[in-house]
Amino acid sequence: MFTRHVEKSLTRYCDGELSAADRQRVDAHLATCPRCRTALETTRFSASAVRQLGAVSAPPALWHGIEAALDEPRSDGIRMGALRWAAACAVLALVAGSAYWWSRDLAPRPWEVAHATDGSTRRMAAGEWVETGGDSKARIIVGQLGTVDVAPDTRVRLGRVSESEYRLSLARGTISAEINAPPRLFIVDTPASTVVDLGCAYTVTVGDDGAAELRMTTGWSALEWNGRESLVPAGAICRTKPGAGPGTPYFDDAPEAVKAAVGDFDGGRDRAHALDVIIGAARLRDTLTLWHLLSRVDAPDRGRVYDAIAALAPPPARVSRAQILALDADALRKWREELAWQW
Amino acid sequence: MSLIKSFAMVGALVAASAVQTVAGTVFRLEIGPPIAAGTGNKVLKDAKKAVFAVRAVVCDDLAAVRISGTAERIHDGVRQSVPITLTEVDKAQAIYLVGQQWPEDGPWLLHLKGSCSKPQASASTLVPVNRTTFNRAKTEVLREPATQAQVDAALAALPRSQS
Amino acid sequence: MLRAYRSLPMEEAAARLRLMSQVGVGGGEISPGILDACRRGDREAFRALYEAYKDRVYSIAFHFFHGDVDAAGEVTQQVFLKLMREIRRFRGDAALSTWLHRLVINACVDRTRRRRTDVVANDPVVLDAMPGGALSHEESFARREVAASVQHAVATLPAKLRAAILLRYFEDLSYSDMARVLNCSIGTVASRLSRGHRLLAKRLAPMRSREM
Repeated sequence: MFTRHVEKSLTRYCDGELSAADRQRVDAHLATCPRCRTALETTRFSASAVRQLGAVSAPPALWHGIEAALDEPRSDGIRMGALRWAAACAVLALVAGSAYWWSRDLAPRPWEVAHATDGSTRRMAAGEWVETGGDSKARIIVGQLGTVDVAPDTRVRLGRVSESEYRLSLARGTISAEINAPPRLFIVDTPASTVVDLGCAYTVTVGDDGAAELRMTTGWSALEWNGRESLVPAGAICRTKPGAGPGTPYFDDAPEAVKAAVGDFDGGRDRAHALDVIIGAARLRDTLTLWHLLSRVDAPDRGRVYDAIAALAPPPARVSRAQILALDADALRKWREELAWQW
Repeated sequence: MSLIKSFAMVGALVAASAVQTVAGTVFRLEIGPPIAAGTGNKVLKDAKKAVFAVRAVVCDDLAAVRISGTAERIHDGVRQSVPITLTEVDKAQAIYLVGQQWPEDGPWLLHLKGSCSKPQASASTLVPVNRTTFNRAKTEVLREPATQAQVDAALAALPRSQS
Repeated sequence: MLRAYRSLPMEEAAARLRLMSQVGVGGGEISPGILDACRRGDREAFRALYEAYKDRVYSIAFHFFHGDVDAAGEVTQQVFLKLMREIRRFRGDAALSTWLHRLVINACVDRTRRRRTDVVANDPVVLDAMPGGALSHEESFARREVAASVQHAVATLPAKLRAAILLRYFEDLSYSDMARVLNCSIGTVASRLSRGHRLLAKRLAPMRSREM
């Protein structure tokens, strides 16, 4: 049986230009296709790289060349008024070589940013950065959706805003979001993965190495990257690393052995032993971790993970072992929904 | 897998089966995080403000299950009780969401009461909450209506609110 | 201290804000008054229009030509001269930004064809073109290296793919806006982006392997 790959759709998928139905189709395929996941990761990487190119200020002298050309006699009878921008030009000419202001003038300014110290606010456009020093904080007001508190020593880029998306990019530091919006409307990009807001309140921290940690306070969120998804409910934590994507989520109150073993497993350090520890020490609530591991372990270990979960919380009647071992998306979802009652 | 771990797993399987045998025959109200109510779009819209989800299990007519609740606490020596409203997610499966409807100034005890008509059964679940989080470890899923003594004991066990 | 990215000195910011308010940008498209004045040949209005868009046009050309400031300057001047000379034909039934994007992309592609060179400059200027702020020397250096690699990779793409990649990921245009700018279908936009990504991936592979 031939598998129909989705590589041709990945650019649109990456750019959010697919219909909901097509997106679901691609999601389902990515869950089982390493080749397309690799292709998606490649696409996201190059898009992210180009996005890092910065705006450049046009040299002041350019205007003089244009003006000179405009002043040359032409037969079309264009009349030019007198130039009255001398004062403004003088001010503009004072621009320091490395300081300039990029403003997406035509785009609306959907972001409102408040300075925590004096409460002053300014409206900012997509593409601008908010950066706090060691002793300052800020609050980004996300339209009618909610707020994002920016902790000290944080850099966050205000991204695109459209009817279907509000986007931030967290380069470094910590933000705490309280968002009340339809799912997938508010999105936070980190160097390692994308936080798709499904929940209500959470904190995201990005380190200098680009690794991120998501802590859910209320509701839940999804971390997505390269076709891999981690669902993170309230009380749980998920770490991500550049190039590796979202790690395996675990609850904050999980046994320390489980937490450490998750770190080892995600970090590729003696994964076999780490898996043993997780299986051996997992509580009923830690089926969150075990469920995510089903799709992250090799086939030979999947049976052990299944057995570990089933021992703690048997699957629903309409979910079979064979379906889970085959990573049937529907079966996995049904079991997850049942397990979630224990999370 | 080591022999010890194998025995442990078998033991857990047996224990889980035993619990399931008992629990599987008894009407009760289970609670879970909002994600337990599902991840459909309709659910997500309501779930965003929910503190937890609640569902009735082991009832032949889940659609007819009735669930009500109150938020209770003892504050400055005075007992307070606030009726709470449950948001319907799936009436046929008796799944509901509970959003915050109590003041945020300290811990509360949510007393949920459910009744099943087929077979006739009633049960309570006592859920300690603090602002917008619930305490699963201290939640009591009872297989009959809570007695006053049980409610009083759960109230007494609430952490003191911090002013 | 809360600061927006690359904030200007106060006086310049104020002057820029006054310009922006006169041009009418900030909440949407250019103000009709400025466009009308430009059509009448009002140099003052045109200067305002120029100031509003020059950095955007220059940046696209700058990255298109791998940091070649001469090429970027030449294209920028060409675009605004053409805009001013043809402004009377602009009826306003499409966004001015669409027209501007079209002008700059056409100018870039035309220049590439005329010069018959897609040769990447050996020593392009990599200005402080990466989002910056209070970075350490090591971070600044690392970021400039990354910027140079990305700039190089983009500049080696065939012109049409380069244009698509810059419009989407640098200018943040939607597919439908890109289709209007490039005068092609959305499917063609997606196809050019896909091909661009495949080529970029190869050129950026060394950078990726360093990161992992």
